[in-house]
Amino acid sequence: MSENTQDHLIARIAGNEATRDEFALFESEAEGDPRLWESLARTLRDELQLRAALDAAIATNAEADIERAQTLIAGEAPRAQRPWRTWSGWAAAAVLAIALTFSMLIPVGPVDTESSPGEATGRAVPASLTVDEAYETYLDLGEREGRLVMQMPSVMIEARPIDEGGYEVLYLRQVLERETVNGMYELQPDEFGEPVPVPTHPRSLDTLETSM
Amino acid sequence: MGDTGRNSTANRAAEVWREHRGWVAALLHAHKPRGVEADDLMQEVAMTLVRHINTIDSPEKIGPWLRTVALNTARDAGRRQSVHQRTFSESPPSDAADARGGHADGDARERGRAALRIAESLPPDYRDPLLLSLRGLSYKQISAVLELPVTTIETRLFRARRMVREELAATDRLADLGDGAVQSDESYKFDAHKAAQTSRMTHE
Repeated sequence: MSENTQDHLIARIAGNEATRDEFALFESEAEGDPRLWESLARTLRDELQLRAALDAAIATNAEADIERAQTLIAGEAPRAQRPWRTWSGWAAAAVLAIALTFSMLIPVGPVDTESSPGEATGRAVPASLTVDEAYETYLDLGEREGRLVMQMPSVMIEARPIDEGGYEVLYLRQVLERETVNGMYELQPDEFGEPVPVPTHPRSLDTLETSM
Repeated sequence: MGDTGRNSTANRAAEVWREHRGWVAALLHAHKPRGVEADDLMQEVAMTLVRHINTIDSPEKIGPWLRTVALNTARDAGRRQSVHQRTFSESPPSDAADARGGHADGDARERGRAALRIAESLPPDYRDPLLLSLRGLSYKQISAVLELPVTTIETRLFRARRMVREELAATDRLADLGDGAVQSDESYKFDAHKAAQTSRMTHE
């Protein structure tokens, strides 16, 4: 029997596909070459280790899913406990609606360049602060006021090499904020195709995800 | 539909899910995008099953149908992520480095994890049958799910296991050389051979 055929036979035994005749053939071959038993043992060991590793990798997923699947089948959508790192299109639209609401409610005034940080002048940014320092200040204040939920990973949009060496990088900073508003609006086209804010009835994120 | 009908559908869906969730989980684990929870994808597949169980008119179609749903669910999850999602963190260590480092301590679990990483890096034509086999499906069942002849499944499984074995043996040799060992010429030849072999197989 060629080595390739022996390997095939061992593979069928390890894969639990060998017939009785194939087992008998293997035993017959192994009588003349006991190293075949060692090959089979090594193959079975590798198979068991691989199987155990895969079971461990997906154990939580499979087991935790049983209850959820049964609940879904019973018609009761569970409250989805999704981590905030899932970013749905609806949430993006909600942010737009919230931002629009705020832009309509908060008057835009001239920038007061002489104020220092901490004074309640709204949009004053002292000239002494760098962009990064101002950003860090915003994060600190946001966290202190309970408005800042999470800083999301930055997203690189584009990177180009520059002549002086290094790269010019365009990247997106994302921050998850929490806010309470008096109303929700959705941008919809008017009869001229122009976007106008229209009052909307927001659905909860949970409700939306269970209807997906 | 009355209560009796609803219960019958629910029971059928539950039975189907219990029978197939094991290998569906393996497929989702292999195909899910990085950063996406497999739990969430399993829930989506289960919900799709509940909604459409009555449209599947024969048991033979359930396996291929679930496979399509699982792959589409994983693909849709990838699309929902940012298109250029990258972070400014350090580059993650390569799988090969993990495999070598993981095996060096000789622990059976580490060796199994190293083997799994190798299996997960195989081309899908070899990875998917291997993972389904590891979840206890027979050649015939894998053939039904992947809609391929049994002989093709057997051939791909044989090659997949051989690739994992040879890659693992290569990491064994490097581990024997000790930490910081430079890849020997023999290993370079192996990698070149493996690259050629993989290239040849993907064109079959």
